[in-house]
Amino acid sequence: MKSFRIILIVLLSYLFVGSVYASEGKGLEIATEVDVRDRGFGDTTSTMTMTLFDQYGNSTSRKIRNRTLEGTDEGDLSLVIFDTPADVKGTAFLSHTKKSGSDDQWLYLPALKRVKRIASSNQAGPFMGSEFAYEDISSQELEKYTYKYLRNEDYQGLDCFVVEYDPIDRKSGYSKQIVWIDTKEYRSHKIEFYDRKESLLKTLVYKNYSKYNGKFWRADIFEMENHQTGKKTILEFDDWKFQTGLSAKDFNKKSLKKVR
Amino acid sequence: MGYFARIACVWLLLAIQVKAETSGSLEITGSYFPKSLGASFDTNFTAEAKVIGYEELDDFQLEYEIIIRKSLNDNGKDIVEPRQLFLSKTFGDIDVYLGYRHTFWGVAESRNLVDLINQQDLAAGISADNKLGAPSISIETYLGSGELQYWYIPRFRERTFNDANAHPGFGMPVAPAQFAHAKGSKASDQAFRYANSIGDIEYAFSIFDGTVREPLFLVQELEQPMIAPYYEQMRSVGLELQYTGESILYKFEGLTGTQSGKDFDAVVLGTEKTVYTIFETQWDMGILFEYQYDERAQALIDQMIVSGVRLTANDEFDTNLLILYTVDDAFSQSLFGLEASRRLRNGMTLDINYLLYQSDRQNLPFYSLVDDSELSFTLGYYF
Repeated sequence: MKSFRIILIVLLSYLFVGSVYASEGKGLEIATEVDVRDRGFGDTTSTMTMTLFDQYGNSTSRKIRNRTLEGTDEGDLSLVIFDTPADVKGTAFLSHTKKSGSDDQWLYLPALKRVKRIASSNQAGPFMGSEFAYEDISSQELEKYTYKYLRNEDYQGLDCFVVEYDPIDRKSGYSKQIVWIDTKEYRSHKIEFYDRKESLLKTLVYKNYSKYNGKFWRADIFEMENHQTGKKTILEFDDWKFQTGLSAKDFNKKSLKKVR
Repeated sequence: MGYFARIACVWLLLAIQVKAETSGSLEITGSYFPKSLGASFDTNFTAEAKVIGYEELDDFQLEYEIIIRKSLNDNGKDIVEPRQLFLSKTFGDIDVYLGYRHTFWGVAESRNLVDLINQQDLAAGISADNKLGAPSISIETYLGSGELQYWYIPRFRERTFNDANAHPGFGMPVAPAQFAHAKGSKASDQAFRYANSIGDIEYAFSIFDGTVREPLFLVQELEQPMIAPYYEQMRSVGLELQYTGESILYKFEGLTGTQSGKDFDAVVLGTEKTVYTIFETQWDMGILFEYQYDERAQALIDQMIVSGVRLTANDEFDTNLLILYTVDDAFSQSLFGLEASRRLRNGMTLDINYLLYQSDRQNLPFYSLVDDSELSFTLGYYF
């Protein structure tokens, strides 16, 4: 009887461990498929209005332009240019994303004509006073997380995989992210961000997806709500363009100084 | 000033003709000098307007940044300044610029030894960020993955100074400048710079040959005593290095060369460590430490130690605070500086600056600056 119990425990634990491996494998498969379906976009440009809402509903807006070049060996290159508020007009932020380790980042201050290399371990810090952290807006490389498939669930009429993304980098501000990805087009629709104490911190909802160049899905609205502070940030994207002919030369320090 | 004013007006008219896209700012600064002595004023107001524009012409790009400044009590601050006013054209990978330009070289926080292109608009304030446009022909291109610049500056621009009784003032009028070079202000400068990065290290190498930006001062005993700026000639090599770690920066700026026949070395060494989200808030705190060494005659003090704290709120108002404490190596004279800034609402900012000089003895350079200690508030409107 005792040996039967041991066999049962061993069997059950094999089953349990096996299912964990299965869920990890499936989580990675889903995340890989999300990544594969977006490969080959080349480069994109877009404009963005960022509206910050405080806990009382007061809002302030800023206008930003984005340029991204798809990475080949390393992560994507991205350039963010601020058009408003007027006192920071022309300020530009250049990021060379790394698949592992810290990204390389530079800031251009137009009043001083100065390009400053900045330390990049600040990924958990807020981007421009918004509810988005630097790590939320930087390019989502597959190698930055481990993955766990949780379940399938209906989200707004769409059958979705629900996958847990666990950040590998200890400097991430999150213990985990729960991501809703539709099973048909592999688009993210909702992300729940949990802080280091495992409490729900923020929820990001993607709205108004459109398909570009017959293949690449982009959402026009990102709504990020901070449950702990009551603050909210909405990003409204406009004027998405793909394969505009940007090259690596448009994403170096010299190009930062010539940004218009 | 009349000369620049005329040029500025012509270019502004031209810019309006071509319907250039313009932006700019209007700043009003109120200053209080709590330790003001003698004939000096203890309050002042200064207004500064800046117009910035860019336009694509048929064959060229036109870019300008014109500053017009008027002070209530200090005529030395009054200026119409083309900090930028140039035409540029791109030939493949080569950019060519002609006109008044503004640039920045260097990596350090407290002093940029290698930042030699622009003359300092010292009357605007002690920050080296106040610069005069360099009348120049300059070329920028790529060399491998790095950036190469060449500058030819055919005409020297003199440093601006406050009135005799202003803050800081010499207490006597400023006489016409004198020069080591026989051509005086018509002597030309040339400069090169190559900048690149390897992994976490940014580096730049530069060469300068021309008139020194920082003058020496000669007292002239004529009918009335006057002070004459005297500009020497310099040939120098500069090196900039910055290592960027995950939350720490290490910086080096070195300048070595010859000034009027005498060899010199000057160095700034620095580090800045940033602690993110202090006390579980969104604030970041940077701790700075820099060491300055300069054996040239124009350096008021050979060795200075700078320590400081930078606080960044990461809020929607871009609130930040920088405190720098600069002291000489004998700890006998110091400058405490505080800069705080915050956006009040879209397009409107408030800056608070405080400078406090201290000196143990009358024969030290900072002693004469103690009465120039200043508290100022700047309201900025940007459009």
